Amino acid sequence: MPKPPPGVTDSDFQAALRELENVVGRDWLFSSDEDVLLYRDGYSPLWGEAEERHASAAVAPSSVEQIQAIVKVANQYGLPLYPISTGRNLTYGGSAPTYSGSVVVDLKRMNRILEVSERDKTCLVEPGVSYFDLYRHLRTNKIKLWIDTADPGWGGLMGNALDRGGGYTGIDFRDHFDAHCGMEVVLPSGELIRTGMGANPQAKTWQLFKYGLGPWVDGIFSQSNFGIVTKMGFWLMEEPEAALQVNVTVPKRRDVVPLLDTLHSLMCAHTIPSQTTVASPLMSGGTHPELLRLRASGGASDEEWNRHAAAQGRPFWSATWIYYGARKVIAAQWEHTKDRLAGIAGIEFRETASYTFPLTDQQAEAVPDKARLGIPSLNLFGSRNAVGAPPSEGHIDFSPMIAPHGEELIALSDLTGKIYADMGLTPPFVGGLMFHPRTMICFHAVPTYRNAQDNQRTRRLFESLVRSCADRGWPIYRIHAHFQALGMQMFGFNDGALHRLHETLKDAIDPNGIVSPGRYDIWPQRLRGSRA
Amino acid sequence: MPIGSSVLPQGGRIANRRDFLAGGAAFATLAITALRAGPVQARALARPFNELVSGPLLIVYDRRLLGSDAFAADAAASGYSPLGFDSDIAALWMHEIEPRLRVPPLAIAGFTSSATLFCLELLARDYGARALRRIEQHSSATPRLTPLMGAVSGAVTAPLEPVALDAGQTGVSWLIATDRRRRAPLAAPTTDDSRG
Repeated sequence: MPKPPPGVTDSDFQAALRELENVVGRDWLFSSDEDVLLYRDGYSPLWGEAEERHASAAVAPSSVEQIQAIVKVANQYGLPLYPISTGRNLTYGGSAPTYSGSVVVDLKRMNRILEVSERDKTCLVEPGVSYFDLYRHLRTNKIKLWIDTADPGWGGLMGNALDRGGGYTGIDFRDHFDAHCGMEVVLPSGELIRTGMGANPQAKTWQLFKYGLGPWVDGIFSQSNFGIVTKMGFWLMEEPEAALQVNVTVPKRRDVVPLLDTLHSLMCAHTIPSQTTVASPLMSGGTHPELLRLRASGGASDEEWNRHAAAQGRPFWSATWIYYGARKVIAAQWEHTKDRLAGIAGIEFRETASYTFPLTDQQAEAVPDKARLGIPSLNLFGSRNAVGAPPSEGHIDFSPMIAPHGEELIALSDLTGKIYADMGLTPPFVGGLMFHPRTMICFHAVPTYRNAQDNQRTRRLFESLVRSCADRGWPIYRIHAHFQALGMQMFGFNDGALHRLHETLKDAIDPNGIVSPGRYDIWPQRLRGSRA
Repeated sequence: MPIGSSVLPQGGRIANRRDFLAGGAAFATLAITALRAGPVQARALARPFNELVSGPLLIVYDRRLLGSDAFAADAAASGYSPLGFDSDIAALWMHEIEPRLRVPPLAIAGFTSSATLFCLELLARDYGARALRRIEQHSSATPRLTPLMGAVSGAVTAPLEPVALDAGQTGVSWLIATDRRRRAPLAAPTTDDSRG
């Protein structure tokens, strides 16, 4: 039997479940232990511990009207809801609620692609539409538009955008929240709103112009709990004539300073259109004793590092990006890029893949780096395949954001390497991804386990990383559900004024506190004294 | 990779477990491989096998794994047309597996990495399908389709349990099938008999 949420009596909970069943039908209310278990966070850093967050039930509506009816029931009984689109973002908490006892509102059944305009290069989708769904729709119908997919690509457009995830193609598309245009939202009151031009029922520009008239409110529905988003428009990338994927390497540690400065400049000038990854193959992974010594030191000199790189015969840094467009334009962009970078001694330039579109199915399947061409894949899970790899059962992402300056990347790698080493752990990946042209996100995966002892160490490590990096000016841009309160503490300017504004909004928009209590540490008044 | 090729065995849909075993598979009674399933999960998921598996059987294999050729040959000898892929099962999911899960029942057998199995279990569960058997494959043994087809007398495996490969292991052979009684967000409704 499902356990009621805190503060809801068993009889009220059972009555609420009966009413929810009346709303969605018997088949779409899930309340057995077996069913509810499927919403567990498979990568939970609290697996099996008392504090692990669990749903009490789940409900899967098929329409906006059903969502409105669910919200009405929740208000009547004080039932906390936790809406998910596909719930597959395992590294940030998956489908498990932020507040234990919440009823998951599983929106996968609302998976209609409502509109695709090849002429305007836009789409309008429901919450359950996955990257797989939209990609397949475009290919099946030979629509010459690309999606920008998260990687792995099994999630949904809306969920990823509302969590402010990123992708790999052009600048107008890979910041997934920024690429949206217009949304429809069921407010906690049950009222339905449309944002931007959608507030004019006759407007023909809902997916073309973001702002409409008056305050632009879309932002408050991302990384938050102010409503249940039921439709979103997105801008899609026109399929280019061609693409060229390139890679450059530089030999010395400090070379990353001019390398990043130049790449940053070229991205802001739109010469380099795609996400750019800069990483150190030399520093990432490996068990060479000298590598471990240098990383553990937290501040080895450039000379020491360069000696190690030379001894290993490996370049220090590697950068990868891709050009899209007409072949003649790509050739000019690449030549200009090489001219700008030519001053770095020892730099090497490579063309790693060249494509002419459209690709056949066989060609698409053979692409090694699919996300850069907007092809959803599950390749990233290959890291779980390694024979002999420690059986970590999952991971959570640590995602500090830095200015795209080489000095910052070096300082971050020194700091994180020492933190790991001090805890007896192998230092992480060194590098970053430029989802956004003016910042770099230096992801690395912190492993989670199915035993409390290892997970306690993981949590200590994660908290140390978050605090230490924030102290240096590198706060995270996104964070796992369990650590959202910690994350928000790092944004505490003026004694937490921003957080107070969030909760002021919560009280005004959701006075009964029914939508995703605690998400990004935004708690309703009634739960502030008992926040997790 | 040929997308859209026929994957059904001769005779198309199969209605019950005996049909599912068609193709010369042994009807052996085997205890299911329990992979770290906690007692609560195992109890909760206990089901009789023969009420779970029906419908067409789709067979997939990862060409990059040692032993995949033997697995595919075994499937072919049993009258199936196995679908190969190279590490990333996303295209097969989009074009072959997921469209068929929308019109259950469906059973899927495979020889893949543990990572691919992990992905498929999570994706398929929204359609009321789940893993019924997992066999970790050692390099000293040849992966085959037939052991997957043996009767299951005990509990099915729990969802979301990781399969970590040790040295000497090459992959996992497994069986996933829809449970017509199972309710899930994207499963056909049990109240609609025409779709059962």
